[in-house]
Amino acid sequence: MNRTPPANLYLGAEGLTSGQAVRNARILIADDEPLTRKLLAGILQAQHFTNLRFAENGQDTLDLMHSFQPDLLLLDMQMPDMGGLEVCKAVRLRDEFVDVPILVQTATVNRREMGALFRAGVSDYLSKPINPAELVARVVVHLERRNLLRELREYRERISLELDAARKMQAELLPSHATQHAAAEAAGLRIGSYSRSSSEIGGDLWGLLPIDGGRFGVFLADFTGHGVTAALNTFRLHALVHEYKSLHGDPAALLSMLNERLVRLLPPGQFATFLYVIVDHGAGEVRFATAGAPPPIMTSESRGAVRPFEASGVPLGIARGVTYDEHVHHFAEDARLLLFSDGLSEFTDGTIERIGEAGLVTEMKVSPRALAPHELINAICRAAGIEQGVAMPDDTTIICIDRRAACNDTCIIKAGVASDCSVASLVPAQEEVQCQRS
Amino acid sequence: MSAQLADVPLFDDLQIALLREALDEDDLAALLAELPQATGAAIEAIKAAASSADLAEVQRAAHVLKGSAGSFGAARLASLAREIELELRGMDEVTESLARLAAVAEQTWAHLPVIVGRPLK
Repeated sequence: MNRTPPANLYLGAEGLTSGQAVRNARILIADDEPLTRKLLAGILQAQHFTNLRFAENGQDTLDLMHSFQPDLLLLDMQMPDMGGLEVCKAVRLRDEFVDVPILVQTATVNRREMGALFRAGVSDYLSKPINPAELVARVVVHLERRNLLRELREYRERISLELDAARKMQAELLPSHATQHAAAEAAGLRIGSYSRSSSEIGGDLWGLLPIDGGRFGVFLADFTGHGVTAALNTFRLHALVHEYKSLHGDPAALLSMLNERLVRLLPPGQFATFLYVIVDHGAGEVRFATAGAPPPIMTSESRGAVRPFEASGVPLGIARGVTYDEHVHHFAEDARLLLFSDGLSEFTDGTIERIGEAGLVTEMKVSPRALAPHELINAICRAAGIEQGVAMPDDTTIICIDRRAACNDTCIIKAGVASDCSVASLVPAQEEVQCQRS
Repeated sequence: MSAQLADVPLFDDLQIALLREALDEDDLAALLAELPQATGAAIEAIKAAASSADLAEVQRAAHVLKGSAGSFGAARLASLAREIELELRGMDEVTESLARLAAVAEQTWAHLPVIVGRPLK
C-alpha cells in the first residue's frame, strides 16, 4: 500500500515564523455537497491544517461564524438556502468579521458577477474544479495577511499607548499653569506660551527657572529631528538644566556647561539649539545667551519698535570647549519679549510661504497693542498659517513675556488657575485657553 | 452521446494527478469510493426536479454534480452536468439528458477502480 505522504503544496510556509500560526488557524468550510467538504478538508489536513469546521448551508455558515469565530471562510457560491453573495454580505455586516478572509469557490467566471462578489466583501475566489495547490496557496496567503494585519494592529495599539504615556510625561516637563502663574505674578508681568509637537512627542522643551526676588530664567531648546529620539534628548536636557542650578543666574556659563555635557551624551548628528534668558524685572533688563536658537524679538510700545536681538552661538552638543556670549538688553515696562523655536518661523503646510523672522517682526508691528500674550501668540500662529488641526512639520514652541501693565481682562484658564490674565498657555492635550474681555 | 461530449475523456488525468499530489493515496481512494454515492445523489436530485418540472432546481442540482464530478476528475460527467446546467433550453430536453447522464455516470463509476488502482471498498 502506498503511504507516500502528500506533497508540501506550500513550501514557503515551512520557512515562515508565522507558519505555525497559519496552520493553527480556524477555517470554516461552507459547502452543501458532503464529498466536496471532505475533499477540501482532506487537502487542508494533508497540509496540517487541523482546526476545521463545516457548514452545510447558509444559515449554518452564519451560525458557525459566531460560535466558531473562524480566521478564514471557504464559501461555496451556491447553497440551497442562501447564495454565497448573500452569506458574504451578512458576514461583513458584523464588525468582528470585517477582515476575516472569505474565499468563494466558484466555477463562474462571469466578470459582472465577480465584481458583485468583490463588492460584497469577498477576499478572493477559488476556481472549480478544485485545484489543491491553488486552494492551499490562497488559504495560506490570506491567513498570513490576516496575521500580519493583526500583528500590525496590535503593535500600533501598543506603540500608541506607549507614545501617549510618553507624551503625558513630556507635557509634565513643561511649566504648569501654576508655575507660569507664580513666576509671572512674582515678576509683575504676563506670560503666554504655546507648545505643540509634530508627532505625539517632540524635540522642543522650554522651562521656567525661578532665581531670586522675582527674577527667573526661561530656556527654550530644540533638538535635531522629531519623535522619540528628540524627545528622549529633551528628558536628558531637562535633568541637566536642573542639575546646574548654581548656573541659572549665568546664561553663558550655563550654556557652556550644558554643551560640555551634551557633547559627551549625544551621538554625532544630534544637537540642540538653546536659548536662555534671565528676566530681571527689578533691573528692567533681560540677559541671555543663545546657542543657535532663533533670535528673541522685543517690542517697545512707547517707541513703536519691534526688533530681533542678535543671536549667534554654536548649538549645544556639537563641539567641546565652546564659549558663549552674554547679551544684556533693557526690558522696559512697556516691552514684550517673544521667544520661539524655528517650528514657528519655518512653518509651512506646503501651500504657504514660511513667515520667517522678518514676517514675525512685521506681524508683531501690526498686531493690536492691547493683545494679551496668548492672544498675540494666537495672532502670530494665524499669520504663520498654524491653525488648529493642521499637521505640524516641526515641533513648535512660542513664549511671550509681557511687561506692560497687567490687563483688566478676565481670563478663563482650563487648569482652573484663577488669574488676572498673567498666564495663558496652550500645551498639548489641554484645551485652548480663552481670554474674554469683561 | 453528442460528438462533442465523446471527445471529453472520462477522467481528466491532470486533475487526478493534482489530487494524488495533494492527498495520501488511501485518503484519495476513500474519497473516490464515495463518488458514486455523491454523484448518484446529485443525479437523483436532477431527476426529482425534472419530475416536478422545476428547471431552476434541475440547473442547481446539475451545478452541484458539475462541481463534485469536476473536482474528482470525472471530466465527462462534469461536462454533461455543465450542459444541463447552462445549455438546457427547456424541460423537454431534460429527459434525454437524464438518459445520457445515467450512462456516463455508469461509465465513470465503472472506471474508478482503474483510477484508484485497486477495487473500491
